[in-house]
Amino acid sequence: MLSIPEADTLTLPSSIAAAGLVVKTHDAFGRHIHYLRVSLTDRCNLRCVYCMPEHMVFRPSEDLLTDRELCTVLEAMSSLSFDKYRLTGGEPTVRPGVVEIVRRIASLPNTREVAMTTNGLKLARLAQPLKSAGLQRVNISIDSLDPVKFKRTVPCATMVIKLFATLKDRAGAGEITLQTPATLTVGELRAALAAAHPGLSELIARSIVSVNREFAFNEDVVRATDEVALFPPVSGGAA
Amino acid sequence: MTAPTIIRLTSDPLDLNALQAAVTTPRDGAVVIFTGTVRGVTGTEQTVKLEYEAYTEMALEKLRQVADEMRSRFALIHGVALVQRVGVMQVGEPTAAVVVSAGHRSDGAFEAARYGIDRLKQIVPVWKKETRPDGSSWVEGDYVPTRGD
Repeated sequence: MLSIPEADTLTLPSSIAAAGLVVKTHDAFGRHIHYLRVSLTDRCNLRCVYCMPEHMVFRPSEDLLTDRELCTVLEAMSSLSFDKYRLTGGEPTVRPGVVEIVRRIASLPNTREVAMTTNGLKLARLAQPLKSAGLQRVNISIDSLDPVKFKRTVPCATMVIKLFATLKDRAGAGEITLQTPATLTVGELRAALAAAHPGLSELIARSIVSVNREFAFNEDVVRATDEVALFPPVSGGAA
Repeated sequence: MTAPTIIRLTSDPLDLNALQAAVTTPRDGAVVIFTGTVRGVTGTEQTVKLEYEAYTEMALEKLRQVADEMRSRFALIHGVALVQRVGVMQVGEPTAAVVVSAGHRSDGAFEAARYGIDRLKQIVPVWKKETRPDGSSWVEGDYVPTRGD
């Protein structure tokens, strides 16, 4: 775990820069090191077999650098003549502040290139904001173009979720589909649904989830192949 | 002798006489029939109609669970019918019926019927949309299931 001092005590590189000195970092062979890979998160929205177990335990987010701490480190690296950055993870796009982080890196004094390695799942929504923020290069990791091989490598699946009452009306459909890992918890499912349907997030938070026709709770595990439903507290019978 | 258990979701009007006949055995001397009904006036509010929607597959399983719970709590009861109507119902129409037969009225028939309708309203996934003179909206329940429900 990377631990850094409070932001305002980490002033050495900028004071050096203020003194008009150019500080460069070199490795043991004298090569100038100016390319920094930054892992934004250990989380991912896929569970590729070679990378993550189905029940991955992620590092608690309070153990990670905050956006502000991360920017402090990046400013320090910039003042050491780092000019090329690659954002990785985990899956970097699942970090909530990713667009702003790209913007901050792109605006550092020495930055020449900002790149990202991603599985691409969130690019449909994020590509334009990331480009506008200054991202110049994207490497998209695709394990196979063959659907069968891809499924073997990335056991993600399409979950069908039945909706009833208010949820059905608000979504305009009796069921919705969601790309999920082969298994996930009910809590993760709620979060993924809310992210995919921001307009329903408040409703999703107070709705009931059933799995295979039994009530299910946030810590329960659900498989993509299960019969899953989401509905408001029941109001049947006669009031 | 096994006592009859009737579990049903239906869009047809409820036939209470038929339900009574179906749960009554020669050993029974008491039959309690509870029905929920579309109430037209609640205080100053008017209801025009109710529309019921169910998660059919789960509702049938949960109705059966309610019947099992009734039998385990009220061991002396015999026949049980739990019927929920779905679709549009007008004021005065029965929406749900709980029918319990027993040897005697003191064998828990009233209590079992009361338990049955209360439990139905907690765990059977059925929702109603109320139409008033000024529009319609889903009525949301307030029971949050816990593990074991």
